[in-house]
Amino acid sequence: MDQVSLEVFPRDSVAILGPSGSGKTTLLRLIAGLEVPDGGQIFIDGRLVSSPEWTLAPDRRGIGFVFQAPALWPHMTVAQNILFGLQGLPREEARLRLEELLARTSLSGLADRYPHQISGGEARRVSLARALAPRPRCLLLDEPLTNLDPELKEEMLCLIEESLEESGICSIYVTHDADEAERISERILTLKGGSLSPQQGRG
Amino acid sequence: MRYFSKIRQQWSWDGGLRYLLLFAFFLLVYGPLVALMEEASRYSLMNPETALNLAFPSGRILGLLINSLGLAMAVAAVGTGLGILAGSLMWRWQTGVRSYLRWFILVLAPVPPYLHALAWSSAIDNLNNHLQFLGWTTISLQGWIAAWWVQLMAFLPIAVGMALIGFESVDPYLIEAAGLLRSDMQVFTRVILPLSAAPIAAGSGLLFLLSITDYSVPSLFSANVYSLEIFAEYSASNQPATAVLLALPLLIVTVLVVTGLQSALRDAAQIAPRQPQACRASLWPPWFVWLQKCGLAVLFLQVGTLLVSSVAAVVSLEKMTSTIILAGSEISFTFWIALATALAAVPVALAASMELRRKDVLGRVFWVLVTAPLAVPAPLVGIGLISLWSRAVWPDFYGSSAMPVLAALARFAPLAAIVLLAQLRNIDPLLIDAAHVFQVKAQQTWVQIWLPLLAPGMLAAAGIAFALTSGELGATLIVAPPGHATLTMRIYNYLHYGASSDVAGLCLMMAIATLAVGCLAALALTGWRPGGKIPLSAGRVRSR
Repeated sequence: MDQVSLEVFPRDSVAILGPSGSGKTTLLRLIAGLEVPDGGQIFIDGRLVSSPEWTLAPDRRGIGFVFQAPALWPHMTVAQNILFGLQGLPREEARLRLEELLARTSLSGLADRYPHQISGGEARRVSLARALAPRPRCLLLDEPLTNLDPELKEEMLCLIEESLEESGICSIYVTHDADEAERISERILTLKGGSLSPQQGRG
Repeated sequence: MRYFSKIRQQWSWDGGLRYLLLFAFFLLVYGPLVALMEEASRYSLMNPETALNLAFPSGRILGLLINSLGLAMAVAAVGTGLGILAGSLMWRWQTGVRSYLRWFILVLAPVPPYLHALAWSSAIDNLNNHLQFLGWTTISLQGWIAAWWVQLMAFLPIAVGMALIGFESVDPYLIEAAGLLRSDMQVFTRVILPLSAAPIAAGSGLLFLLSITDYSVPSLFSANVYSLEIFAEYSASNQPATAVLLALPLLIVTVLVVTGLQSALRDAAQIAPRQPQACRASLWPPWFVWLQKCGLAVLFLQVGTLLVSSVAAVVSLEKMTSTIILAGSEISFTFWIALATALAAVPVALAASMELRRKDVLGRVFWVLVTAPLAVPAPLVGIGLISLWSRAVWPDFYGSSAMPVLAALARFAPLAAIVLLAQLRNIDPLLIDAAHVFQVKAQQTWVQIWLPLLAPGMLAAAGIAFALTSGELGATLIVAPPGHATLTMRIYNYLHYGASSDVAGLCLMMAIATLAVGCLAALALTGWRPGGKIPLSAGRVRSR
């Protein structure tokens, strides 16, 4: 990536389109702190979080991440996966938050199941619930609908839309599907040749 | 013509050869054990009281069993702890020379424990000379503590290697997902350790088994252990049945450990290697980093002492050369035995590893059958072979050079099968399906597809069998034909007279040979070849 400049505001929903290998995932990983930039800087709420010299740990950034694959921890139940990021919260408060998320993602009856005991679509919903659980300031979504059949894709898109609206947080949605991008985001950017530009015909 | 084609079909891999080799595997591995059990049953019926006394130890023998269990548990516990600490640090060595260096640790695993015994004896002798010069109290390297330390040093590479395999097996995306929500230390304890528990537990169990069945190191440091008692009982009575009955309590413990480790061993052998991936440095707390560095320092101490002490103990190159020339017949005998074992182990182990791939109940049964022999102490394998082959079915075998080969096969063919399984699991079934679609003859798939894809695993299995056979002592000591001795037997006899320069030369040669074969096996298993590693997948798009 070269000369990428992106500013995201509270409640903003940005989609980044681009062909495979254009660096969309790398951009999200840099924002999340999973990779260290070779150059440039990343700020969250005006605070420097990433530069070649210094990087703030990912868990200190207040960012939620939905990966391409559900990436659920196989030794933990659905509930334990969601509760993982709620450490420090009083037990009762954590339980209420868990119930709220399970209800919102239609997973109420699956709390005690392990990842191998649920379907692919359910696993995606757990992944979203886990990312939303600690009430992040920003949600990063890295092609979360990859490999889903059309029915599940539609179901998941609705859930993401609702969740983003209810939580009122900003989001960056990476995809190579223009329809998905239009549906989820107010602002669409294209990453091509290492640089970011507004999609033609949109701002 | 049709008849010949039928014959060819029958003797193709899937048509019969595979099952013949599988039968050979079980005959080689279980033959001695079945013979022993038969002798023990017969003896027990004739002498029930003596049999009960032997099988239920009391007094000194019971104390010996408890001490041996304590030694093995201490080796396994400390080894596992050090393995986790050093392994978690080396796991992050993903690039450059360090990424190769970390796998060098596994190469050290087949170095026979008695070489470590010599290295530490020499090192402590040298240290004592300096301490004496300074007028300070010298250190005594004798007894249980010495046996524990040297066994720990000898088996540490296995613990570190298994921990490394465990950490490598964890999906980086699971770690990253956790890293967004918790500190790196919590990610390590809550996600990485539980997910890498199977290989770590398998390593811990292996350390326990290796320690409790090894008598070479404890006997060199005057610590009498239970497995030595089995050997002594057989030497004194010359009755296989009494040795088996005496070994029964030990066998129960080792079988229980192997049974408990079934799923851990199965998971460890089925881990698919992951491509190295650039990752950010973990932000662990200083106290943990300090502990990791301590673990790594102990590992370097192990490697350093082995190499430096062995070289330092050799008085001169001339002396070493003359020692090696004097041991020429033992070296040659060892080489041929190890080579024969390596060549014979691969086909039978391959047949067994094919069955280990099964995911049904029969697959689980095969796992039990292949891993159970790991629980058998080496002297029992030797005694079982004598019991089996002395029955004059094939009298030519008994007392011949084939006996050490059979002993090594009985001990190491199961390990070779597990190594081959690791390679088999990495081959994408789609490649084989494609070959079946396009093949003109069934053999074509075998020769052009299976064998090239399996070659690294076969080389690794052969290398491991060769290295382990070269250092085998427990069973070889019992079955070696009159007038013949392996290099290990010669070194072991020398070692009882102290760490002389004679034995140092042989040990150094043995260490270099084991490391060289180990390096070749490791390179084969990691798929290294000029021009880079050949991917074993069909290039399918990953679902992530």
